[in-house]
Amino acid sequence: MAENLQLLSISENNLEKCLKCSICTVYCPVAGVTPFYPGPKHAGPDGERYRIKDAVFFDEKALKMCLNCKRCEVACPEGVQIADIIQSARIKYAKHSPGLREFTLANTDLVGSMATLMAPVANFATGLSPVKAVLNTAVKIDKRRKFPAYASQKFETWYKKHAAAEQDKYAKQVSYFHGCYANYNYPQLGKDLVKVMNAIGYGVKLLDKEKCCGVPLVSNGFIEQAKKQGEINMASMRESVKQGRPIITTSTSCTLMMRNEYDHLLHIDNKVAQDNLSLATRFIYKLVESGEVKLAFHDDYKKRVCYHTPCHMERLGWTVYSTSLVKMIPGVQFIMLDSQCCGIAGTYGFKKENYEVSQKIGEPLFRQIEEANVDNVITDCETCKWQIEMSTSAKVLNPISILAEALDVEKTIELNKK
Amino acid sequence: MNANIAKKHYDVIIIGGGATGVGTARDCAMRGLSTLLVERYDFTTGATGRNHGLLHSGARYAVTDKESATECIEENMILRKVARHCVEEHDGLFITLPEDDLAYQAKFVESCLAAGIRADIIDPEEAKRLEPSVNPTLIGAVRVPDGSIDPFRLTIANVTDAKLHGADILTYHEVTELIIENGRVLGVKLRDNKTGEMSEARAEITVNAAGIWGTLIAKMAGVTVNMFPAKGSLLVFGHRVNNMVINRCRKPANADILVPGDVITVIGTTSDRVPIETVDDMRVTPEEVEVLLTEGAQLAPALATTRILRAYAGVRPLVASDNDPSGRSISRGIVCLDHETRDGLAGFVTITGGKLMTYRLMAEIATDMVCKKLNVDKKCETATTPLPGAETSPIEEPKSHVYAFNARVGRHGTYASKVVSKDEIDNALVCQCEEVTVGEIKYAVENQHVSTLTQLRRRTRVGMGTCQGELCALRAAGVLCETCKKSVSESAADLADFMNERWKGMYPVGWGSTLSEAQLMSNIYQGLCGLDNFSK
Amino acid sequence: MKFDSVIIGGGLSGLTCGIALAKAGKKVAIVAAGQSTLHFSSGSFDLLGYDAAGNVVDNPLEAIGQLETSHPYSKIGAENIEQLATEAETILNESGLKVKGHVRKNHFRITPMGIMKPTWLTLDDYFTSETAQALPYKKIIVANIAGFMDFPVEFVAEGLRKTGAEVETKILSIPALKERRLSPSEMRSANISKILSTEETLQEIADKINSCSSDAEVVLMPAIIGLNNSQNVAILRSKVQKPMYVIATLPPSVPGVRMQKLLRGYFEKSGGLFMLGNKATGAVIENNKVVALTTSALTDDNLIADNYILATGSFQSEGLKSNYVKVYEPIFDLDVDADSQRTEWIDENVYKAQPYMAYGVRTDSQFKTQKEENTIDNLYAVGSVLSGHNSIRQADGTGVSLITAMAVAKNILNK
Repeated sequence: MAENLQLLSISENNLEKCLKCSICTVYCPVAGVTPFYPGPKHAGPDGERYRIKDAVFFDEKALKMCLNCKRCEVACPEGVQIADIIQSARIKYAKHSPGLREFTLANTDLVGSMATLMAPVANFATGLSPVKAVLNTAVKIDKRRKFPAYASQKFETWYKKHAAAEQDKYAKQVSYFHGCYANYNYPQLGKDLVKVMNAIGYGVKLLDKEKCCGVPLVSNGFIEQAKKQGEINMASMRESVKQGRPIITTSTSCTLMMRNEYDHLLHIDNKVAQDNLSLATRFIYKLVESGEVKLAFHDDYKKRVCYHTPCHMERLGWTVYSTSLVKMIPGVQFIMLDSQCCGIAGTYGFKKENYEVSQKIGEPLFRQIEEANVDNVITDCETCKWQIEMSTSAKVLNPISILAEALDVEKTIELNKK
Repeated sequence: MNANIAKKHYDVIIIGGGATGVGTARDCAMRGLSTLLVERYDFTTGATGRNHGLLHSGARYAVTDKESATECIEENMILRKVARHCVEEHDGLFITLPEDDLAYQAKFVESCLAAGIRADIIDPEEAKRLEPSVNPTLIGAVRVPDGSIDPFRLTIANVTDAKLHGADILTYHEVTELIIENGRVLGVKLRDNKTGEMSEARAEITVNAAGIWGTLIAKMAGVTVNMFPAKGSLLVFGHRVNNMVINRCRKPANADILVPGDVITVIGTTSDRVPIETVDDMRVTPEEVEVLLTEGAQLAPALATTRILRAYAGVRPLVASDNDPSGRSISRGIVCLDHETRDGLAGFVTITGGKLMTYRLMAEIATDMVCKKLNVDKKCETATTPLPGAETSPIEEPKSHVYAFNARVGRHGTYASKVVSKDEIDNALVCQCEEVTVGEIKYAVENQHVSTLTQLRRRTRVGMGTCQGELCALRAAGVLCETCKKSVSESAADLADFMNERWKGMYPVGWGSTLSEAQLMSNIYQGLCGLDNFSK
Repeated sequence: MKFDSVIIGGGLSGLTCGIALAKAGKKVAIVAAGQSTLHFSSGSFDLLGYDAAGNVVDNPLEAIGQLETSHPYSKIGAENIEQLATEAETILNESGLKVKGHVRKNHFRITPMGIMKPTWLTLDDYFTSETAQALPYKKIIVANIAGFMDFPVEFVAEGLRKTGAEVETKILSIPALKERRLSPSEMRSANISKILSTEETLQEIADKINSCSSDAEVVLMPAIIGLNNSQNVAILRSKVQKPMYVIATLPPSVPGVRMQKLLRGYFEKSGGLFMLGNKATGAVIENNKVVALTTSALTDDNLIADNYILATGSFQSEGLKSNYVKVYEPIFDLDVDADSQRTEWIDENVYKAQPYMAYGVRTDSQFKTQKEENTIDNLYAVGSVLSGHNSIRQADGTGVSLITAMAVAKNILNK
């Protein structure tokens, strides 16, 4: 041990590298709109020193206000994983067992599959004011919140019926981790992805078993379940890689969780995800940049769009891939919005006590979007989409969807045959 | 100095604002003596403020010095009751490593039990479970009732109580001379170290409780008390690495105690004899840092890769009895000298030796002697009367969502509610690392003899955290300037001194994040703000 | 991904160098591990404030000639500094940062402690003085926001009084901040600024100031307006009846955040790609040339460029690192100018020159770096990561950042 004497500074989530410079507090969307959140520095590295001393210093109510947007981590010049310090503390010290509301919000796949079965009823019901009132008071989900609609047919069902059979004819293949959103709420995104991948010569398979990545489980306090599901996902991915299929997704939060957080937050071996899991936009961009794949677009495609950087995209550092890909479409007039939080942060904004904060955080973004006067807002995150669509007049699309719209499939297939 | 003090004729004057001095002042005052305490600088500026903060179980001395061990465990149990807000009761481990002799463990446990110290041999696996940071190669472990104690809080609680019992306290008053007439000490001549003003104070008995500086006080009285200045250096780590005290189960040596205290961990100490002339300016050398790190990493390997906030050194006030250059075979035994019987000098008592753990007992012994001389027949009650702040237990239910409340309870115990908290400005945090509020600064100024940043640090921990004052020092200077009605130039000079004092602890460990922190600090204070060495 | 130039570090030197290159039509990417030291900005840019003996410099251009040969300015040559300084000033102005000051004549800024420090350029809404002895105003009001501790208003006032001015302090209680004051930890400049950003709140402040400043010739307040909107300061000034200026606060610096945003915006507008939160982790070096840069976010996708520029800053920005045994440059392990013995890095008096402050990577006259004593032909260094200057002693930090950024851009373009 003496040979390593003070050569390296090692502390969990780089806790000790904090120089107390306070830069993180500038970029915290929550601290800016409410005085009741102590800010990332104080909730994170400052508070952690006290929590190590005694759990009595764990202030659950205050720490719950953290969005886990990770903008503090992106801003930190010293690489302190501030949001992870806060998340780890919540995992470690939270005393209150999650209630019905947390269960509803966390179990996106379970609740999702039930809801899909009865989508027309579910959508009707969640939109109905008496039901909203119940959600508001009993389940404490804010009544002003528009619930995401559930699709009548899951993406998986569609895939099995309409796409699965054709995928083997492609020489190259990927596995698609569709996530709960594409599966239950917006199967069109999954369909768009299959369309684009097929056009560039890739077959799309599903993983043997896909479970919710765990983001909503962790933020709502279901840690053990998140771990179990994570293990299943990683096992499926290992199998996929063994069969020569890298894994792509269309969700930034799922990607960040599985690729960057499984290991230190949930202690799951996620090397397979670190090496083989990518956002679809990144996967495609790299193929195009290397010349392996060519894209052809409809000549008459014209759209004015703006791109919103989801917080977890900012943390991944992959914005460049999605924006570069969208910018390749000749008919697209592209506007880059300031990178700022929309306020929803997954299930955060659904909670009654967070609604006001959530909307206040998003306000500058909403204003910018309305002023941009665009046909579509492009973003890589499903919950940002809900929030923006609820709070502005804009229609939001994933970059893959706009690619699917603009892509001249016939020509693209032709180009990539050579 | 207050004119009343010069006019008064005290029963007793106590020289020295360390734990022993303030403890003696409290005891004397509680027994109804009119009492004056004089301290040349601030409280806790000697060995009291420069040690591990270890609530010794006495186990460390059990094999070599049964008397000290017994004193320790008795005082340990007393302090848990009377100073509970200054104490953390987390127990300690004495670990045996493969290179140590496991046979020592049996002897150790036997000696502990003989001294009345609970000592349970536990399985090394159990030790690892209890204290995950412990060196995993350990082959033996004994659990003992060690803990930690905050000497700053302890001292100030004694000061508070002494004052409640009518004692007068003068800080920044240095004894320049003893007033001696006809073989009797009649009092002291004092210099106000802030103004330079000279004065006198008189009493029946003068007690020399000046720690290592007691040798110089004795010299003023024309008597000889040979002291043995043994320098001990320590390192402060950035966060709490361990939650139990970790010791080596072997003959006491360098850097073999690792103490968690508040939000940090301290490793210490080295031990080297130093000349008495140097004790006012102790610096930690690179060699000492090396020893502390190497040995510390033996106790808890994580120390090798943990950020170090600062280094400091104190001087043990041991009474010399032989020429052992390490100072370790000397008993930490209490020495109370009646100079009337010893040297034919009446009205003068020296209380020395001992250790932080036995400060109360030392105070009791000295006060007993004073009372005897004054024919006062009142029993000591400090072993049973709680210090201010420690009256009830649990002190107060922790409150969620009230910033700094729990930290405040930790520092003030039941007195937490006395901290000024009337509006949101009082509740604002000045120091975020240590959760010090504006109200706490106001409270310290009003009640705890505070007018400088360094004094404030000793009372509240302001600037003691990770950043060592990077932003909070200027905020605190602003609040102090306003609360103490100080001039801006005085405040700026105080700030300049404070930052240099912080640096004194940082530069011996100036690498890694601590060097980066130092650069940021310099850029803020010297670059952005233009702070310079105004006091020079 | 391929670029003409890849810059590591998104602070003042990285951004201005990137802008200069992008404006010349180059494809430039900046990777930034986090936010920069602009967040601690004083609102001024210092070219050279003090000479080696610590005396205030009146004409920086003249004094640069006296600097030691190891100083970055000496490598450029005193005769070339003025041109580069002009170019840097142009970039600042084009970015939307209106500055005042002259390269041949230092002026004085007022620090948060009320001390006058010589400087080269200052944002035009900051209070400055031509001399340290006298101010352009005799009756001054310094107004702070109630509960804002990062601006010790009495220190500022006292500093100004030393010039003979009559200074009064005022504490403004702004209703819009009532809720914000409930936060014990986040009553900080940036959060205040976010609230004081609407027309109504600016009007509130102006009304408060106007009602208490009738006797004053000028009103000064902490620099807390305009985090996201650089127009807000101008709006407030238009509402205040007396001339109004700002003075720097403790970090985070609101104008500093604005500088960061405006410079990044101008860089992106000029065609540059700015990747925040992406840390350079290592490089492939072949035949004394960097052929690829690896980063934390873009795993398995190296950044390839003709030229690379190291603009990572000093210790506090992790451009330099130290441990128990050495000082090193963490990305490329470049040769550094630093004492080998740890005890030589520091002086025990914090107010003396700290040797570590002048440590940095070793470069040639073109600011090309070296590794194992071989010059790396396409890796340049700019700004605080360079060795040979102590910005605390000489007040030259931001100047070195800007001037070396301009010099290296020129060196690359002339290649």
